[in-house]
Amino acid sequence: MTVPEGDEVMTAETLQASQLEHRDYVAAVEDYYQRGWTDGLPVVPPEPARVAAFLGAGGVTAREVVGAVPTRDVIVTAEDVAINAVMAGCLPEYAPVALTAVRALLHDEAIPHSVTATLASAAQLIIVNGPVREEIGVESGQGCMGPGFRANATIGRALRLVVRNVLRSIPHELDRGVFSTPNRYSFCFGEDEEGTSWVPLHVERGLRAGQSAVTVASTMGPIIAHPRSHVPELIIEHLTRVLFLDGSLWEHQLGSVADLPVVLGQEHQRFFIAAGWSKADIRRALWDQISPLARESDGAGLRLGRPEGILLVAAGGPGDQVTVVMPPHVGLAVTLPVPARAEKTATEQTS
Amino acid sequence: MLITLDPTGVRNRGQVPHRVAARRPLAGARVGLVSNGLGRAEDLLYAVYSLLRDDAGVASAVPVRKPHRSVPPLPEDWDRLLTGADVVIAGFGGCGSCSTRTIRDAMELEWAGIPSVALVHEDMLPAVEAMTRLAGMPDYPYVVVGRTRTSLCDWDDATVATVAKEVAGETMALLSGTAAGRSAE
Repeated sequence: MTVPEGDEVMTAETLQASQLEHRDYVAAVEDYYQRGWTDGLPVVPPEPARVAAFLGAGGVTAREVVGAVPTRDVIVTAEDVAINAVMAGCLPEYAPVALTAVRALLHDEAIPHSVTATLASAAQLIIVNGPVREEIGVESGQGCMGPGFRANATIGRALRLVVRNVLRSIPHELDRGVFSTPNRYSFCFGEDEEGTSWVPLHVERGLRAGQSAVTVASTMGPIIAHPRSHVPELIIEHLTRVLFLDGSLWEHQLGSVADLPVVLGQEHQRFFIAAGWSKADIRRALWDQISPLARESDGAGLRLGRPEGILLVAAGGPGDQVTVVMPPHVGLAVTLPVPARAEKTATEQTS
Repeated sequence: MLITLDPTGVRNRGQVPHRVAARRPLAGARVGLVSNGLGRAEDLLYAVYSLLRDDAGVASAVPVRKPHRSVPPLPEDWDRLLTGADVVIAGFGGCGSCSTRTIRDAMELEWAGIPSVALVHEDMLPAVEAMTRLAGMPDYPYVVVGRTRTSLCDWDDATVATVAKEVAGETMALLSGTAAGRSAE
């Protein structure tokens, strides 16, 4: 078990949550199903020692407040995040990233009540930047948005289990998503900073290079766009058409100004970079295309607000000319630094 | 034997007992109209207010438009309501986050001493009921617009007027304390 800095020793005995007794592991999993505490998939039973280890690796105490949703009288503590992260399958070393993701979602600018109660089935996209990706194995290359990567899968799932169990966004109750979305099981990947010469997302958003960071955005995507051209201007044109057809950037029933993540795949990165385009060039060109557009039916204008609301990310594998656009729900994307970890965890020390 | 932990954080919810505000006759009342901007919400609130003016003798309107459908009124608007409104009508609760925030607006105004009512859509009732339970007021009443109307309040003028007529009576009863299940204090 690890010990955080500070004067409180994190042990299983210092935890606050109610304890439950089960005959064995399988009985515990079934009990969590019965209580409605899973996303429909089995969970790892959150034993106190595992939860304490997660808190220790995160360098936080159980009672530390991570955030709140005042509209629901909900306060989220580090212990709540730890319990749900253990249930999601997170290793202790994922704690700084998982805790930061929850902090980002609960930021006022993310409008957490809206994005977790909505009819529009928004899901929370987590983008990880910086050295922590390599340290804990966040995939940013081929297949990064799909299954097969423990850090991606369980950090994204941890956030959503917090949304379900602590924020009480449960289908047929507070969660009113018309269809909901498979992205709500988990939606987390890294930016492929090593595969591109572009400035990473978190640096464009004001953090320093070499700093690890998490960005959380609520999105109704992804939409996979296949511009077949090698010409930057034509790729931008295609993305503009895709966005306009989707329409959510012009949907003022959604209310607030939003941010738009655009994840450029390797082939498109290659074409842009070969033509000398930076992320800033792409952002400007896309902004120039979409900002004058208004919806034909009622003349509604763009709700993106400013060019900086286009969040460009490099990720994915080679072999197809693919870019993914993430139609935004409401609120802004929030980027926060990931704090340095308390110390090596037991799993790292033995590996 | 395996020991595990409750993941719901329920221990964090130190629930303060809340009360609804005392009811009084509506004649001469200043009516706060808290719109979340959903569809024709403002028009609906004004239409209901007009009927209350004709039928119950309310005196004036205090309109407030929230900056987003899922957030409370701005602090300065909240102050305007607390100082300038005797009762409040909030709406329209036609989507997941707007219905839940609308009922919360009404409850918070009650806690501040202002009789209030939320106008919500039938399709959103499970979320509204979840909110009243979370706030410790599971029996707090509201006015329901049925699912013969679309929930996003994207109605034409005639529908706005019709819905206003449909809900005005219950709105008056809830604000004045004459509705079944709620007595004037």
